[in-house]
Amino acid sequence: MDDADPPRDPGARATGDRGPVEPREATADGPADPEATPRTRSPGRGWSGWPAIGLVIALLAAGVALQQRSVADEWRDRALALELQRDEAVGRAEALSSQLDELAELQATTSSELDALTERLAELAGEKAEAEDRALVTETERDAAGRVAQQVASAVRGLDACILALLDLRAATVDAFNRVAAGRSVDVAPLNAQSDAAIALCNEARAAAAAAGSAASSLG
Amino acid sequence: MRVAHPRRRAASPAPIAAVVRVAATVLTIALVGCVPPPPWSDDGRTDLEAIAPLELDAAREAEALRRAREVTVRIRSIGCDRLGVGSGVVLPGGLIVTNRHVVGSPRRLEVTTWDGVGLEVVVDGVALDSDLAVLRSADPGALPAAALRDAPARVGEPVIVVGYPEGGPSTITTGDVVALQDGELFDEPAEVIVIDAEVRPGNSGGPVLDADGLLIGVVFARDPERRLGLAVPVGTLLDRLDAAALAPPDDC
Repeated sequence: MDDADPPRDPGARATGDRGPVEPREATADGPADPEATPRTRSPGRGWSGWPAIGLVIALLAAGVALQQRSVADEWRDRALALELQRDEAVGRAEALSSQLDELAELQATTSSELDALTERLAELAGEKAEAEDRALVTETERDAAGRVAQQVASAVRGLDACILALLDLRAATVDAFNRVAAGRSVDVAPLNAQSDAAIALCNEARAAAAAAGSAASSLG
Repeated sequence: MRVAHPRRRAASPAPIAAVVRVAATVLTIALVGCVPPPPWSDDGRTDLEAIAPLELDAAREAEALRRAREVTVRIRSIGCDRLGVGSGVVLPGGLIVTNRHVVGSPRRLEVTTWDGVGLEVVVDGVALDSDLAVLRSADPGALPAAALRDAPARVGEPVIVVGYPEGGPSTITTGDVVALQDGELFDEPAEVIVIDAEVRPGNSGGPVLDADGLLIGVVFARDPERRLGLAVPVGTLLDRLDAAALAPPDDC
């Protein structure tokens, strides 16, 4: 018999790859060896508190999970609410865009009508001004014609005076010739003066007639 | 004799392994408690790019033309035996600039706006060495005024001409500055602006405006053969205004 391999205790239980475990010498009732010190329990080795700790941890985890689920639910609700708001805003934006298009179209129409009205107003103002021009021209021509008429009348009066003066001069001249023929003396000084006056009147009449003629010509 | 005792539980796992198991358990429970996020949908998103841009250039041009019409007035000069019709441009302070030959020798002046509103005016004076005349409105606050441009006219730049050709309604024509010509040929003290915008009798005294509606000249003549208009530059006008080189018009 080989002493290197001690005989296997039939009570030993093989534990996997660790091989048979040597049975403990100590028992629950006390050490087999009265001189051996009692074994103390090492932590983690056969401690019965782990289930409790596990339970606490599980409860804590469950609580955290419930709290997280609640928070997640809140966030989801908020997101849904925001999405609803966004959809409403999109709808309002589309409605406003549609209204803006309508207003732009209306403005274009109004602007076009305003341009047409402005042009019409300018035309009417122009027609009014042209009518006033024609009226003024008529008035001016009438005034000019009136002045010409006055000038012609003045010239006519001058010519009348000239003719009368010449007739008076002729009568005085004939009288003077008769006196001379009768052998009487004649003072020619008054006759000369009368002649000068008649000439002056006639010259004035000629000038007035010329002016009237010129004015009449300018009326054209 | 050795007594065989019931075998005790094998030695417990290491503390680290136990903590890992506990952590895994807690994590699993926590994950079980999570809920998925609410689903998103892309329906109904507004396309902001679909909003059409504003046509500002066309609006600015329309505004410049509208403004040009508002600052141009119609002038009727009633002389002794003469009726003259021309145009004028309103400047700040109630001043109205036109041509000397439009004012002529007036018995009275009648000025109206583009929409037929009559204005009370008096003659401030006429320039002696340029075909310019200055009137003054009795109510300057009632009139929109043209702004004067500091920079002189440039060949090639677009212009707006407003007036009352042949005594008709307010008319706007456009064209370009084609040249700057020696003013001595036209008895003007400085270079005159030559434009190809349509100018007819009645446009005399009216404004020549740049594309922004700023005054750069006053129409005073036209060249019917070349179909060109001539304008006194605003610099000449400012010199005459500053130096007060104005005289009363001839009597009727």
